Amino acid sequence: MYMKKRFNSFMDDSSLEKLNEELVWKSKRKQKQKQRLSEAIDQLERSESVKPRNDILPVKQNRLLRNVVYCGIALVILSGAFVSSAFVSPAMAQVAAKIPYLGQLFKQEPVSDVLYKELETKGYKIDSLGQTYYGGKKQIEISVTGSEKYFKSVKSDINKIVKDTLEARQYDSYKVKITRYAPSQYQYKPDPRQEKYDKIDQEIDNELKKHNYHVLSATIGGFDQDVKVELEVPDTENHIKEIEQIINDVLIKNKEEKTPIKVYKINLKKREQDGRWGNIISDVGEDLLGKEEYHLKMVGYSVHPEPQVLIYTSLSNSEENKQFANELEGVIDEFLQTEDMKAKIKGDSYKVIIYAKGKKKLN
Amino acid sequence: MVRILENTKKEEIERWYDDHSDAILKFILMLVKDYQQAEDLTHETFVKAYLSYDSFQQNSSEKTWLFRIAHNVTIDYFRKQKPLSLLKDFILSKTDPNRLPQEMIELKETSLELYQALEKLKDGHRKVILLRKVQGFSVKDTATILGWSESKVKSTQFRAIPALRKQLVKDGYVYEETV
Repeated sequence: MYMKKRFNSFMDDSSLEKLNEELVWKSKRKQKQKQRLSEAIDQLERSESVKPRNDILPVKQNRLLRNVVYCGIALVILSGAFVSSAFVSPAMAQVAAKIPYLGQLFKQEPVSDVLYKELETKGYKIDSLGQTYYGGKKQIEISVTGSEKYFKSVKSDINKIVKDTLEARQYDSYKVKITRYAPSQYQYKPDPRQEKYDKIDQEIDNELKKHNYHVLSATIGGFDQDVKVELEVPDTENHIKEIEQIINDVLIKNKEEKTPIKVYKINLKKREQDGRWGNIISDVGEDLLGKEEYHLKMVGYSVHPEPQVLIYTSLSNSEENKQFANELEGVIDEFLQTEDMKAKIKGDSYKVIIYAKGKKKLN
Repeated sequence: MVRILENTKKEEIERWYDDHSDAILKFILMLVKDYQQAEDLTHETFVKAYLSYDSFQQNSSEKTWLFRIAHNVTIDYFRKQKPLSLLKDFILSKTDPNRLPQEMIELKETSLELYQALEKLKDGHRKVILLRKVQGFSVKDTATILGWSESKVKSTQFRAIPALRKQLVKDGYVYEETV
């Protein structure tokens, strides 16, 4: 007897295309995974901001941005690729060259701090507020809590306050972005693995406290194959082996014995210096980034081997712009010689390096 | 290196996630044949995309770039797998050919046979079919994703399609005489 088994007697391209449609990833699951990704990125940003390696960073990590996680403002490492992204037109570069004189820089509170206080005093429901810089785009970003109706009713008022404040400082480089923070979008169920890691961290902490070693931090974390314990100790600590043993015991107890321990030896003097220069750069950048006339994309710094103030401009690498850069260096230097700044610099010697787009040195 | 504040990178990655995570998950799933792993590796793909975002060159589409990362992530996964878990995987795949967790991912009945036949193909064959036919990538993009030459893509595809047909026959999903 002959019997026909079902279909697919003819397998063709359309049946293969159909396979893609017929395999359906449940959107609930997809959203859950999206949340996981979002969390992971936030965690990455946080852990990057405390990593001891590399010449560290910052610019304006505003304490008011503790809600950073939710408004999605991120700290990133600025790569060469980013720096070289072209963005100023030759016409603008021309204008730059013609600026005859650059005004003095003043030490000012970050404009986002001022704005936050003002909006708070006036009773607006602000979730977070910060200055953001990406791809040369400078923004004041404000996230407002409350209902959609409330948001609509206050948005233009907030906008006006921000615009006025910026104008008073003659800051013309910022765009203003006001969004509504909708908590429901960000609800996240804790990840069991993260909970386990939190527990392990706690146990490591407890064990280490029983001894008199100098440990700066010890935390377990990472992604999938890459999980490790990151141990930070001062480079003067001589008992690393013993500390590792203590951590290992906790790992074994928690069936994580295969997790490697990565030791970071921290030069505390450098770290202190790093922190100081982070503040200094924040002061240097405030006015510079706020005003178009400086043609800045970003400011940065490094303390390795010695302090350097790094200024990334959107200017092309021309003779006129070199002149501009020298003038700019003078302005920055003058600012760094003020009493306020001297107190922070504590006699460190430093360099100011100004870059054209494409990371060519201009001065 | 300098660190700056930014917001768009995360937003951009999330947008990519909205647009492409489905395709990536399915691609990985059909390579690793394990839903949970596929989910983890998809996650890893997007985390890696975030981490190396600055090196993304505009000369390929983001989708191609993401698939390339996904492919590399999958290869790494197989490399790191221990023999024991490979064995486990082998046994599992023998005993439970349709172990997709229905509450998370659903395969319609009409494509079940094709899915199962694809699972049984050689790695290279399966990859080329998934990229060229299921996802609709060009030969050039497929070559970029797999890190192969274009001619290798073409010749593999040339053999892969008949191999798939043969597998379908073998599984009895085409006309077949039975007594």
